[in-house]
Amino acid sequence: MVALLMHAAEQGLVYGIAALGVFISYRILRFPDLTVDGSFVTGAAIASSLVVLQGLDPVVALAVAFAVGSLAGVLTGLLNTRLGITDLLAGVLSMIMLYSINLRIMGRPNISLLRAETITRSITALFAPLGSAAVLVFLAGIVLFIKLVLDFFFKTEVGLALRATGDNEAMITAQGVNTKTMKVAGLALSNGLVALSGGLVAHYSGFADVGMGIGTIVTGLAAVILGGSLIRSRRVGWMTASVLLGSLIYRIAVMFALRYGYVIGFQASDLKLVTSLLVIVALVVPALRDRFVRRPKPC
Amino acid sequence: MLTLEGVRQVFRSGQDLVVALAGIDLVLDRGDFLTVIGSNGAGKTTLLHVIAGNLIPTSGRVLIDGEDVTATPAHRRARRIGRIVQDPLSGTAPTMTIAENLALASKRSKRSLAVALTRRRRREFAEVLRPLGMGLERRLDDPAFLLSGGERQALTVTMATLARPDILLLDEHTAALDPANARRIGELTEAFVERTGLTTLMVTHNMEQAIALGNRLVMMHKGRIVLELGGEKKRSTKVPELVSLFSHRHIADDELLLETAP
Amino acid sequence: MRRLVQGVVLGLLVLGLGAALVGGAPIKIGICKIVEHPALDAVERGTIAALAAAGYREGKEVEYLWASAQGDPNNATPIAQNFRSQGVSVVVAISTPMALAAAEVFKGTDTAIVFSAVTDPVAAALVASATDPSGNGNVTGVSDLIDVASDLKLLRELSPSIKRVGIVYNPGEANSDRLTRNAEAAAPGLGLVIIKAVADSTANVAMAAQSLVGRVDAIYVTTDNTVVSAIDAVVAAANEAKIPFLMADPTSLKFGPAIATGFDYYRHGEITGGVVAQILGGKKPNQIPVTYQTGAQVQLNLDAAGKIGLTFPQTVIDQASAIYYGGTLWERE
Ligand SMILES: Nc1ncnc2c1ncn2[C@@H]1O[C@H](COP(=O)(O)OP(=O)(O)OP(=O)(O)O)[C@@H](O)[C@H]1O
Ligand SMILES: [Mg+2]
Repeated sequence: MVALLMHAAEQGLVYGIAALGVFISYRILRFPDLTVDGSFVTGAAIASSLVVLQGLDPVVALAVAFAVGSLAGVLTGLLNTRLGITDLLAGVLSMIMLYSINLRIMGRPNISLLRAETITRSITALFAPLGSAAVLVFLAGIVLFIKLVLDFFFKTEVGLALRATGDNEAMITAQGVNTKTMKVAGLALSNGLVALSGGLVAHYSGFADVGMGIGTIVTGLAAVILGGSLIRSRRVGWMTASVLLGSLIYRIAVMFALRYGYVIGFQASDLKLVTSLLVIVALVVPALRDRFVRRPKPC
Repeated sequence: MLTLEGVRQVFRSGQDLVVALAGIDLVLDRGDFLTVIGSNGAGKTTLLHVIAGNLIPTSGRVLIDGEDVTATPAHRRARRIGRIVQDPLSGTAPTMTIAENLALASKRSKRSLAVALTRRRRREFAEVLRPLGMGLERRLDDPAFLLSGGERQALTVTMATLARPDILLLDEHTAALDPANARRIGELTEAFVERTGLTTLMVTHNMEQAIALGNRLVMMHKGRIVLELGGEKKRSTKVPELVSLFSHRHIADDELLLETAP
Repeated sequence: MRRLVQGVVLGLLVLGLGAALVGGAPIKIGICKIVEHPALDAVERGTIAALAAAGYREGKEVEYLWASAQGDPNNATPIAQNFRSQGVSVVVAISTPMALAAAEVFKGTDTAIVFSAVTDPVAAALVASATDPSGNGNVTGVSDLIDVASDLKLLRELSPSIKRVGIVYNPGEANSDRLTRNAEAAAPGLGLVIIKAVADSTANVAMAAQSLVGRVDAIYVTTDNTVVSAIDAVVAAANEAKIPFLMADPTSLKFGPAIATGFDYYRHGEITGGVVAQILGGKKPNQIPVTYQTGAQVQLNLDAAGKIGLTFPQTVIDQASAIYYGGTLWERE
């Protein structure tokens, strides 16, 4: 039971990085970016093939995964801002292009990391005294680091301009900000994080699969919405925390559905139903709360 | 300071061509305060768009300090041009706090990765908000969407002052407010322009205001400047005179749709 | 109330102890697959049937835990972790991603991983080589690698005029990708040229198949789940071009390919069950080399052949184990 919760927490953290990426595009930039379904795999593909085929250090491989994922974001950003393709379509186009690119990077649909030096193996060896908690501690460490860097970034002059780009584009243009550049930069950051998450997931699971990106946007949004309904704050630090909380809850729920779902009559084939129900609950709960809980009007 | 040469702006709407600006020539010197009046659809907003860079005119040139900026994108002109429009929603980032909005406005050069809101900046912001007498200095961390239209427009004016532009464009920026707030924002703007002596272009439908404020006045109609008053002549003109002046120029009153009462 | 709870707990304890004393607790076996699919479901059934025949009956000697990743590889790892937390003794991992996830999660443990329906276990690093299962220590299994060359040879036998063979496939499927590469490698030796048409989703199968019309003399489809799901589109294209269509999936014969070859996946499951039985009998996974299923069947669809004006040569008929004619499947005695 404890082991299972620990695993769920590990997954909540790794996928939480992708959720932070989705948070940046969806909440900060208000740009529904479907690129992530492709860039997640791109990250996994790069992080696996560099380790398996090129024998690179896992940390270097993950850094490259982040960089290439960012390029995918840049692509979507340029399609949208320079060629005037709508946000949804630009993301879909990138996603489709990435499918082929990912297959090229991997050379085949599935890369095994069973014999490779993955980041999880290095960490387990490095923090051997921590035993089975090593991976969890390590993941908590990097996720916290990423969260704090993002929190800081969104308080800088550039970060503020990025938030304003999603908030009121005309206003921030009048303040001298090139919103096209901001969108491209924001999408790059977002997809870089998603790719990093994909790379970590591959190392954590022991394989990369070309089909593993499908639904990244959905689970990312689920985390953003779920977290946002539990922690309602407009402060960036709380918002990023809420995304990670949402991701943790989502993964714990999946794990519980797998482990105890049968008790309430769920079958193996109902897994998707369970996760979708969770998203629906996340969407409905805040609305219900507004209806039934009287809270003092703001101001 | 600001020069417009033969500026024409033609829009295509379906099959028709709409001539929003039919050849505007205008020269504003440093410190000039020009009020612009004219009926709906006269082309006033379009004129400000062309100056701010939101629109590239069909023909003609826009110069700032002799430099041709006709095709310069809006965000690059923003360092020199401040702008406030009618809708209080459009001047602020709604989900960001008052302090963050002020921080956004106070920097128009290259933005860095330095923390935007230091303790010192917050104190400065509180100081610039205090004279408004709206208590906004105590609400630095409230998001802008919580503010009333008047408060928000006051914040927008304050943001414009922080940026220290060379040219200020005002497009009926008090029109959406109740009379008391409109007067307050009007006074605030006046004080600001007087203090800094910046070059100002103000669109208004309020004739009283158009006469009372500024040193020059133009009347636009169908994309043209049909009347220009300056100096002594402008100050001595009364509202009914202004209206009859137009009538002499064979413009039907009903086309003007001017407010003659404050 | 409290007494009642105590009573129930005590009763359960006695029952559990009794069961353990009488027959020993059933051995837990986790069975997981990547997606619900007729072939993979048949593997499951075959596995259980073979185990029962070997004396491991469900609910008596063994207890099964079921899981499906619902087509999402991201579910593979939590499923394996869940099996681990429930203390399964053997994991039957159907498909490559499930096998990889299970091998990673159970790395260094005593739990045996028996993979099934994995086309290329060596490339997946599940085992060191086809004959040496010692790579991960606790992994072995059954491969469904089909002999693509023999399928191509069959096409060659149909008519000497067949030179260009079109393959409709989804490069995103590990199995299909591997087999298509094998076909490309084998073709020159048989005097054939392979022309590929990519369908990355079921919706694109029709277009991919149509693109081959007029450019090839025969169409070949391997064990590609995407294409199998839209087999009608390939049949239509083959009929339009009046060329033979060979499908490496015997269950698809009645849908209209002229020839169907390949494995019976129920049988594949039985072989898998046999491997599991050996392990339950005390053998270590690293002592059991990977089993490559053999004995691919050849089945002919005379109805389909009639539509394209094809007559099967006697050499091909001799190989057939079944014939589909007049809407009925006739098996060779
Ligand atoms: N983007 C556009 N496309 C087509 N026509 C436009 C566009 N923008 C403005 N116009 C037209 O140009 C003319 C001038 O519009 P403008 O907004 O400049 O008028 P205005 O003087 O500001 O009017 P008001 O007093 O109502 O604000 C109008 O006829 C308007 O319909
Ligand atoms: Mg206007």
